[in-house]
Parts: sequence; structure tokens; C-alpha cells
Amino acid sequence: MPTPLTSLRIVFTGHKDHGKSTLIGFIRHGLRPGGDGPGEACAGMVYADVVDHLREERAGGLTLETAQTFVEAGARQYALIDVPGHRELIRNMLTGATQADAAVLVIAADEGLRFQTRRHVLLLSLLGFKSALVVINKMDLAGFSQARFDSLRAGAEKLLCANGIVPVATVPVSAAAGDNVLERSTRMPWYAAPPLFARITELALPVPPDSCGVRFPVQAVYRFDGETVVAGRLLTGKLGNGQTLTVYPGRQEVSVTGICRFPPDGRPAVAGESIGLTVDGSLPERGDVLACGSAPLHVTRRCRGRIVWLAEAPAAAGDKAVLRCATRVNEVVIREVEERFDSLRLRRIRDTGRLAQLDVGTVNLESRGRMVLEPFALTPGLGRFVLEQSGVCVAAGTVL
Amino acid sequence: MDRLDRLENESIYVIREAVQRHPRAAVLWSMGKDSTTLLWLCRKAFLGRVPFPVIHIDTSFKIPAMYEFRDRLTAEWVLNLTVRRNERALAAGMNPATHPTITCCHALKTTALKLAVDELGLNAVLLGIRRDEHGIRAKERYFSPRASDFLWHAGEQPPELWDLYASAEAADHQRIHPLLHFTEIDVWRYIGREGIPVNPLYFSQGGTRFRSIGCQPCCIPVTSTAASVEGIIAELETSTTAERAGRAQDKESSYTMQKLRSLGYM
Repeated sequence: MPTPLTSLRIVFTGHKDHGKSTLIGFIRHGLRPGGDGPGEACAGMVYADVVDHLREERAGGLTLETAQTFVEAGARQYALIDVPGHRELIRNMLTGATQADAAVLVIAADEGLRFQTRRHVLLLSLLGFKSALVVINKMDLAGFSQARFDSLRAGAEKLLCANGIVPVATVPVSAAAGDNVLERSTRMPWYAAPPLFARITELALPVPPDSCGVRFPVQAVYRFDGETVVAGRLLTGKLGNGQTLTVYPGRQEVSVTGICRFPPDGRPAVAGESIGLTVDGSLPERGDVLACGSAPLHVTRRCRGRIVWLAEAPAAAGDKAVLRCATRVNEVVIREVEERFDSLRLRRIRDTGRLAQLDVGTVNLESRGRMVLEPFALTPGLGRFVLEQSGVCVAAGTVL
Repeated sequence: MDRLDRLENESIYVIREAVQRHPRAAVLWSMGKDSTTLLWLCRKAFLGRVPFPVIHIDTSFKIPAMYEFRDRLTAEWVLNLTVRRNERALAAGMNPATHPTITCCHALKTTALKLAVDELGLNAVLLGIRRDEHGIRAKERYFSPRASDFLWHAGEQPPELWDLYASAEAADHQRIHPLLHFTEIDVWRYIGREGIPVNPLYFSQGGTRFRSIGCQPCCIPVTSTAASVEGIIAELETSTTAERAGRAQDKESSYTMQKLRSLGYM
């Protein structure tokens, strides 16, 4: 078997008890039996146990905490990310979803679209997912009915499209028995398209955005053996010796005199690499962003963002928080809660003034210091942020 | 960027973030393949050095070849090694022959780590655990805040969003897990690619090898002819047994690892 050259991390979302863990367990067990799973295959095996490893999870038949399991197929490795489907555990769903490159939405054929189905789709949209694969699970409980499948598919497609997410395919499965998961099922002859895992292997790989030139948030400055090294991760673009960069927010210029790695190799750096730089010019510090390219970075004291509010106490105008974006930290005030999304009816509600726990909405933030941001759609790494109060995360958001 | 590069660069980011945000950090080294890979990644992050203490939690029951390997690499990589033992428990006769594994692991590893965190005044401890290693570890975060009682409340962890790891100002210290996204086979592929030194115990001698190494009485070698990194990779590609199947600790009950980890085990 060759070393897989690429990896794809996929989050399985949807309402509680719609079969996310069972589906992941079946795929993992089918492609890689044993391992860290529940042991040898046996009759009556509970596939969900592959990812539900906590005593409380197995006893209660639910997922509490996000987990990841890994399979390899062809030239790819897949990380399958399980998340809980309960309203109370949205923070764990977000933890899993923010690690993913792609998303699957699981809907049980007997229950159909439920409240957390809608909420998860709204959150996927907030987190920037542009497409999703849909699974209509538990087809056995709907008599493997094509009519039921068609109606649920239409509902799922409408929901995704309304949230700006393209449904790439919809597959009818029964995860517990493996129908249409790894292989085509004989129990749904009306379904002629590929099974779920074949659809997963067709999902596009993540591509680093490369339209706006170099973006290099400074993580730290090291002084080793008389040499000063600016450490960070290159989000976009390419970096080599002799390149001139602008340091934001101060807008002074520096030129790159070396790309530092261990062991040293002198190669230019590509997007995604954690490297060090030696520079000529005034020294940047943590939180600065080094950039070059056609579009300048936004240095601003105000920004508009879409957030999901996680704290128990509601958010309202005047609330203070610490905004963390890449390696930069700014104290901000919520100036206005512009609108709130009603995930049940897919409506936007204006003039609400506040966001309750788990509400998604649009807010205007103001900072005392200068923020260095870009719209999430342009540079995800400089357009996603968390808000903290007393060191506790109270919101996740993206810059509009 | 290929996949091993992606894994490596993500780990370096986590390590740098941990040390930048928690200046009193240290890394745990058990001399196994994972924590040795973690040390290698720390050297990459800090351009050839490990600029913080390297702690070996010594139960005193490790396989002798592990101590030899430790001393060789400490000299070669110029590590600031600190060896910590729970001397009180050892003096009182704690050992794996007379005590249940869970009791012994807790006393000689978790409690020893607790003493080290206190004595060295650490606010971050880097560990080489991986999600793929055990179903309980599959639920860990990169940054895992702990109170001074060390307890880990799986299911009640703070959210970890993208790479904006939790500040957790109220925590006593953070456990940092930079290798979380590596699988066992990834670690071996990476060791092979980078030429990272590993303990000879992992290679087959007389038809057996260790797949996971720790305390001598609690680790059983597996039947194997794999005598090189390439041989191990080929073996793992077809293996269907768990990595830690040779560990006594996981055999007592399905939930031993959960119990150990909720009490602060690494």
C-alpha cells in the first residue's frame, strides 16, 4: 500500500440519534477492522462503540464528546469526525466541525429534518462550508421507500441551498446493516448511483486560498545564538529570500533575508508551512501580520462579523470581550446586534438587540486597538475569530 | 504540500503556540516512538533545540534498553532532562507485581507527574498522545486545561475552535497534545522519512518485537518479523490488532483508560 499523499477530514453532522456514530463505526470497521475499536467483529456488534468510547456514551447510547477515527483508501487518508447531535453539546459539535475540510449531513428517514438538523446546517454555513454530502439514514425504518427518500432529499436540498451550501449528492443508507455505505445495497434497487463511501472519495481536497498574495501572522520572535527569528505559519502565497513584506498594522517594510527550518534547507516556503524568517528592517512582534500582494490588509477598529453565541448569559450591545484572530488579540465591544437567524424558519430577524445562547447572528464590533482582519471568504485564517470573556470562549465567528 | 508535511506543520504550530502562551512549559518523554517524535518536532519548532525541560516520569520499572536510549539521545540532542519519580510510593513498595495496574499507573505515573508540575511550577505540559491510539484519547483536545486536582472531565471540555486554542485562564496548567492528528502508521512513516532515532526494542529480535513500550512487567512483545522501520510500516498496513493490545493496563476493563485519564493520566 502506498503512503497516502493527501488527507481529508470529514465531519458527520445532524440531529441526535440519526446515526452519525453508527455510520462512522461501520465505515471504520469495514475498511480497518479491529484497531482501537471495540475489538473483534462479532454478531450484534454496536458500530457506534467505535467512536463512543466513554462509559456514559455507551450506557446512554449517545455521543457526548467529538472523536476522530482514521481510515485509508487509495491515495487518501480520511479522518472521520463524529460530533454530538444534542442541543446542549453544540460546543463539541463546533469543536469537531472547525477541524473539518468537508461535511456530511445525516438525516434519519423515520424522523426527517429535526431542529438540530437545521441548526447544524446553519452552523456549517457560519463556519464557511460551501458544500455537503447528504445521507438519508435508517432507510430500513422507512421500508426502503423511494418516495420517502425523494421527499427527504428535496427537504434537505432546500435547507442546504437556503444556507448557501451546495448538496453534492444524497445517498439512502441503512448504517446499522451497511446498506449503500461501502457497497451498493440490493434492498434499494431504485437507487442506481454510487454508495456513500464512493461519494466520500469523490469529495474535493482543501485548497489553500492563493488569490491575495502572502499572509504570514507572526506567532513569536525567537532569539537563538545571536540570531533573531520571526516564527509563524504562512497562510497563503509563497515566501523566499529577498522578498519585501509590509508589517501590519504598522505598515513598515521589511525584507526577508532567510527562511529558517531545522535542518536548514534554504527552500522557499509554501502555504501551510510553519517556518521562521530572518528579516532586515524593524522587527515585527506577535500579532502582527506580514503581507504582500495586490490587495492590502484591512487595518480597522470596526468589523462586522457573524457569530454563534455560546455563553449562558445573552449577548447585547455594550458587552465587552477579547477577540482572538490568528495570533492577534484585541479588546472589543459589541456595538450592535444587527440581526439574528431563526434556524427553524430560516428567517432573519432584525432589531432583536440580543443573542441568546446558541443564537447565530450578525454583530458590529469595535476595538480600541487596531485589528488586522480579512473577510473569511478571502483568507479564512484571518477571517475567523473567537470571543472570550475572562479567558472563556463565548462565541465563534467569521468576518463578513 | 503532502500529507506528512501537513501533519508536521500543524504539530509545529501547536508546539509554538503552547510555548508562546505558556512560558513555563515542559515536554514529557517516555522514550517511546511518539514522545521521541514529539521531541524531534520540538527541535523543528525551535530550529534545532528544545528550549525547555524534558521530563522523564520514571516508574523505575522501564525496560533497561529504554534507559540506555534515554541517556544516548539526551547527550546527542543536548536535552535539559529532568527525571522524576514518586519516591514515596516506591519506598512504600508500589510495584506492578503486587498492585493492580490502575493503582500502580496512577501512583507511579500520574502522581509523579503531579509532583513534577508542582515542583517545576509548570503551566503547560506537552505530551505525545494520539487520537488513533485509544478511543478515549480520540476525544482529547490539542489544549486541555486541567485544575490542580488534574481531573479530566471528558464531555465537559471547553470548545476548541479552529487553531484558536482555549485560553483557560482559570486552569492550573494545560496539557498540550501536538501529535493528536498522527496515526500509528503516520508516526512510523514520519520516523522513516525524517530518520528519527527509535529504540531498538521496536524491531524484531527472535520473532517478537514491542509495538508499544513502557514498564517491563506490563508490556508484552508481539509476534513479528519486522526488523526495520519499513518492515513495521508494511506490518501495520495489514494489522487488525490494537496498538496497545500488549498493554496490561487496557485489559483489566474496557474503561480502565477512561478511569486513568479522568484522574489525570497521560
